[in-house]
Amino acid sequence: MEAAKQYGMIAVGGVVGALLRELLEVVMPPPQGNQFPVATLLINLSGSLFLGWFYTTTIWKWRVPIWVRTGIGTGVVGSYTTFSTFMVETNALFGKGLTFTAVLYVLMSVIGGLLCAFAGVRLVGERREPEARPSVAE
Amino acid sequence: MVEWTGVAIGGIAGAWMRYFMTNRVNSRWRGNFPLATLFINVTGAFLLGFLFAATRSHNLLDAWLRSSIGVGFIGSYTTFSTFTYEAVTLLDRRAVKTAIMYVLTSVTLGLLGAFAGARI
Repeated sequence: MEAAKQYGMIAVGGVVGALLRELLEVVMPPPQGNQFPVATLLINLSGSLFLGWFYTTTIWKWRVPIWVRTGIGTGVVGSYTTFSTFMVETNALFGKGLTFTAVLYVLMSVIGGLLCAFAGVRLVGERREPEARPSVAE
Repeated sequence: MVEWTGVAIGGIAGAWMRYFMTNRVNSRWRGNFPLATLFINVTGAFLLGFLFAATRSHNLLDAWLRSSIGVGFIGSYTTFSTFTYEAVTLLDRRAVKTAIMYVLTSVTLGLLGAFAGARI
């Protein structure tokens, strides 16, 4: 039953995350000139910031049931951000000879993403063990 | 509307697949290198590269099916936020070499995967 609950919450989260990502991709298409994939960059940076904060705060500050962690972390944020689109867009930019944009995109995504995740973790502040830690399986 | 419904359904399948694969890999792999996410992201990059290249030139799939699979399923299957979270967690645990290895292999193999997928 526990597994069914996890899969159920991940399904709900997956819908929300995928639709939110597609909405942003539609609203913010790459500009005509340099074709920089602004939407995907914004999605991946904001998702990294949120997940860093969420996974850390649910270990050290908030006691939440494990299905809340998987529903939001694995479901919503995991589906909202995407690695495959990032890679295919980079490959397409290289293919069109837009080498500078491609390299800039990779660097901004990777360095920016790591900094955002780190900032999210640090947002939680002092780490103290709550009385009962939730299980922390990702 | 059909397109958004397709993305939503694909999103469920992709998130499930990622969760399933992560559990499968982690039940066998005990190292601190995040092998599950690396596998998911590289295979997803390959599949998306293949899907977009194959359907662009041959008009094999309707637009809605293309985005259901590409944006919905593969987009949700792969993840960027877990990738950055795991890398930062490794750095936090002073596993600097592993973190650098993880970031470099993810990006290099991901790009090679997308490139290979688009070429075959």
